[in-house]
Amino acid sequence: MMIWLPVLLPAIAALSTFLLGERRPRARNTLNLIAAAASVGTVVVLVIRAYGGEVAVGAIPMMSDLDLGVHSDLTGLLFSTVATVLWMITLVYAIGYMEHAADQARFFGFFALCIAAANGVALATDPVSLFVFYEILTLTTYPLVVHSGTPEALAAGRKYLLYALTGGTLLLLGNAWLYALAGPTPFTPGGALAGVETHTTALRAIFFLMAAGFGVKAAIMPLHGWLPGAMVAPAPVSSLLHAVAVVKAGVFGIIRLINELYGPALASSLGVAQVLAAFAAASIIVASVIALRQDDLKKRLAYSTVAQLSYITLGVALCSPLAAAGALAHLAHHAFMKITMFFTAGSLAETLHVKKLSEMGGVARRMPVTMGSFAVAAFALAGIPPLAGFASKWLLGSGSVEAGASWALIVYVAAGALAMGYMVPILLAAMRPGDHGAPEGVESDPRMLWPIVIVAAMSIVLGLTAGLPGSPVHWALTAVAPAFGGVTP
Amino acid sequence: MSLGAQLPALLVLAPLAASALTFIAGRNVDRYVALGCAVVNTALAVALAARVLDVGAWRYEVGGWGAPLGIDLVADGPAALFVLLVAVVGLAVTVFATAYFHRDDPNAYGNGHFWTLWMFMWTSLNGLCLTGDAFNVYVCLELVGISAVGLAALKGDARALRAGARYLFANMLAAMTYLLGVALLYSATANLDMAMLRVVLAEGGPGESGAAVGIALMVAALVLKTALVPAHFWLPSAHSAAPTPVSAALSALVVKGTYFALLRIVLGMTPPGFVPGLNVLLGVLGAVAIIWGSIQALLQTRIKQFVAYSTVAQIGYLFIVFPLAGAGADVMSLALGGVLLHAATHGLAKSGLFMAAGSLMDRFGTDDLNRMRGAARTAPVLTMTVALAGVTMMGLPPSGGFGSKFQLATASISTGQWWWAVALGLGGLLAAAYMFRVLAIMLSGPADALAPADAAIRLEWLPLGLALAALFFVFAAPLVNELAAIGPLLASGAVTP
Repeated sequence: MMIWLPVLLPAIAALSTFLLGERRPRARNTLNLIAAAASVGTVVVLVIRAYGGEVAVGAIPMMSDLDLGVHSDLTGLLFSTVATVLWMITLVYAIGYMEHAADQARFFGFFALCIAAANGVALATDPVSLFVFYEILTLTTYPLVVHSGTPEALAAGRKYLLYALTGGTLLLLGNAWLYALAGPTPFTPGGALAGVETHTTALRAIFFLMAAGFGVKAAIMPLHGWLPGAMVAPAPVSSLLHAVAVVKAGVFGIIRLINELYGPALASSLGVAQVLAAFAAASIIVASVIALRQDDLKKRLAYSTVAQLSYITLGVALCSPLAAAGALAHLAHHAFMKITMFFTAGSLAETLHVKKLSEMGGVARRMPVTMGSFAVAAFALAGIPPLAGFASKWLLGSGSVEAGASWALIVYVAAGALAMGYMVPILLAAMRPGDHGAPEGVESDPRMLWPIVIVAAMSIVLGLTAGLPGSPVHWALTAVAPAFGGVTP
Repeated sequence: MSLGAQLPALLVLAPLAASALTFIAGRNVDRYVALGCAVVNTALAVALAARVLDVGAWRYEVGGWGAPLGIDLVADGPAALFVLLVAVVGLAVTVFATAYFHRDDPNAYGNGHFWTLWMFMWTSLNGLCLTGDAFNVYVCLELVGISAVGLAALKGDARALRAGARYLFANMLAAMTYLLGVALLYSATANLDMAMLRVVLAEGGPGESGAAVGIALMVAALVLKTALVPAHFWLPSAHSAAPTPVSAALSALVVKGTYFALLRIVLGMTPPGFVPGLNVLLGVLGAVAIIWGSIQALLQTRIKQFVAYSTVAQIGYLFIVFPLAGAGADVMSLALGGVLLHAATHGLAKSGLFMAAGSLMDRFGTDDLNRMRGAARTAPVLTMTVALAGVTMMGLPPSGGFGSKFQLATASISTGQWWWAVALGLGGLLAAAYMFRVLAIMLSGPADALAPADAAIRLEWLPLGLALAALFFVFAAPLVNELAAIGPLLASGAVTP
């Protein structure tokens, strides 16, 4: 029963939010926060047990011999922990941000449903269960993207659905084909396709169908088109969903696909991982270059997200233990770094109505703490030691060498330089002189300020503690080891 | 003979008695008679399903005569499922109708004939699902048709009468064609019992070509009544001109009843390949229906027309099972389970969707979709119903539509006929296109004015309940698959042409 709580608790919060409607906003906020805290508590207990080797499993019969299943393995729990912890922090931010907005019940209800779905994606035991949650995530995100109801938001929503549902259909066809070929295939570290490896053509086709399905949310170029447009959503949505839950569900699907469905050995012997790696490497470079030229702050961050997501995809597609661990660790680290930046972008837009780099003059003086937090996250993202981004990139880089793919190392180093290139101008723009009509040092609403400080601090803490048990790096190394024959690198 | 064995007869007699009673009963009582009958019927349907799961399929000899002289009713898994679907949706429609038709409005429901016609339709639907006799199918088709036309034209205005006349024409054409077909079949085989015919037809013989022509005519008639493209011309007008509860029943149940007869005749009675090209043709038409119906739904500007075209599209999915006939038993059980799942889940979602659409129409005072902006804020429960029913139309998880699509796609790929899976995937995308077009209007601002909810609260929550049931229906798939396996329909899968 407990294994279902990370899915059920947010779902219950969503249901109560819908039923409460616009009445009693205080009760609604309290209820959501309690549900988030309870989810974090549940996940922590599951993590402690999983570290002790105890994996909980839950299954509901669905179709003939397919169950809707969830399990508490370390890989899934890492994603689930990140999503749940950041949900709680984002809730505080969102309560401040949305204070005077319309349709709050709809917003918070679907927000919680998204987290329920993301946790389902994280914990799913097999590709069909993962697909179920993956599609629920697509659907529950839509009302948040179009929240404002403006023609611009509706157009972005249409584009999002076009990409996401087409990807979902490919994923469905891949799943159906796989089931017709091999029956149920529960995720198994190292691969679940023993006995059907000889069907190489079918397996290659299925891989690409599924990778395309996950690739839409993972924003692998050229499937990324929906993401910059979706930035029209309210800031908490861009922060949690388009930097963490939704896009990470895509890369997480790719991690499961390579490490636990095909297995790294089969994925590279079929030659499919290499193709995926090439797409990811191209995405990293191209998206970073595009990010350099964006004046709109959220768009710049969105292209940075496209690049950073492909760090993860490339890492897992290299099929080496160190790179795979780096990919999983980067999934967590990037979440904390990027959410800091999107929170900041939201604060600037909400408090100062600043949305573009060219309007940012003076904001560093006006909001020193907010922009200081942003700077920490920006340097972390660019891979400056000892911040979080450095730790995961170190793993990714050494994994590239381990895999004998020194070209990937070059890509990562070049991307680091490019990240500096698109982050530093934001900081410079903020330090330019300018006037925002209020006394200097007045920050935004404390409910929006403190979450920024906390997530920025996490970028430092996660970097400093990278060697300790329980840190994402250590966690990722432990979690991916079984996929490579149990050798902890 | 135990009481349980009499259930098939009781399921026909109970609504028939209620139909007569509502005719006699005054305006103050008739709705309660209908409600009582709906509850009894649902209980009987549950009992039938439970008994089928318990003891397996059985035949009920009406009047003790026995086939081929008498008429047999067949209680097997698929029949029990359809009877149960009719009961659950029927109960919801009945409850909805008690709120929809005001007792003190003398013209609101055909001078009180709604209840009589509705109970009569229920009788004939149960009969259609339970009969094991090819001629008795004809009788039930006529009865369903007459009551359905009466219900569709109930409003009595020019539009309803025009739609009703068209509907009547389609019904008459179908009935005559079926009658001709069954006569040919009888002259060729001297038999009307479907189970016996299966054996006779498999043996072949001198009358084979006559029987094949007869079956082709019967199938054509049923295709017309099921509104499979290109024989769908009557459906959108008939389903959208009717009063809301009737639209729900017509779209959710009536086309399913005739489809079920088709299942019995094509899968249960006719050996695969007996009528050359028939099964593939049905599959192709099904795929065309999915695409064509969805595109039409995308183009509609009136909400009920939109929902009706979505039915035209969804019916197509049900026909993907036919070209797979003749494959191994395990593939066929996936496919048959898939279409039964689709029929049930679509029945639940579509009745909910029609009720919500009708309520939105009444609240906004128009059926123009483009004038329903902001419904998400002003009528959140109805909008949610449309959205959740939409998930089923798109076949996305965890709806039963997802289960059926997955099972049908797997079965298609297993037989090497992967193109059906592509059609299923494409259909899902098109359904998303037409559903989200409508949802986007409802989510956009600024809101259009709408009337406050005056009617009883069940007008809002009942359709939401139906849509929710459909939304989680994939978890009923194990039960549906189990029911699908009980009875003669699957047995045909093992016989190769």
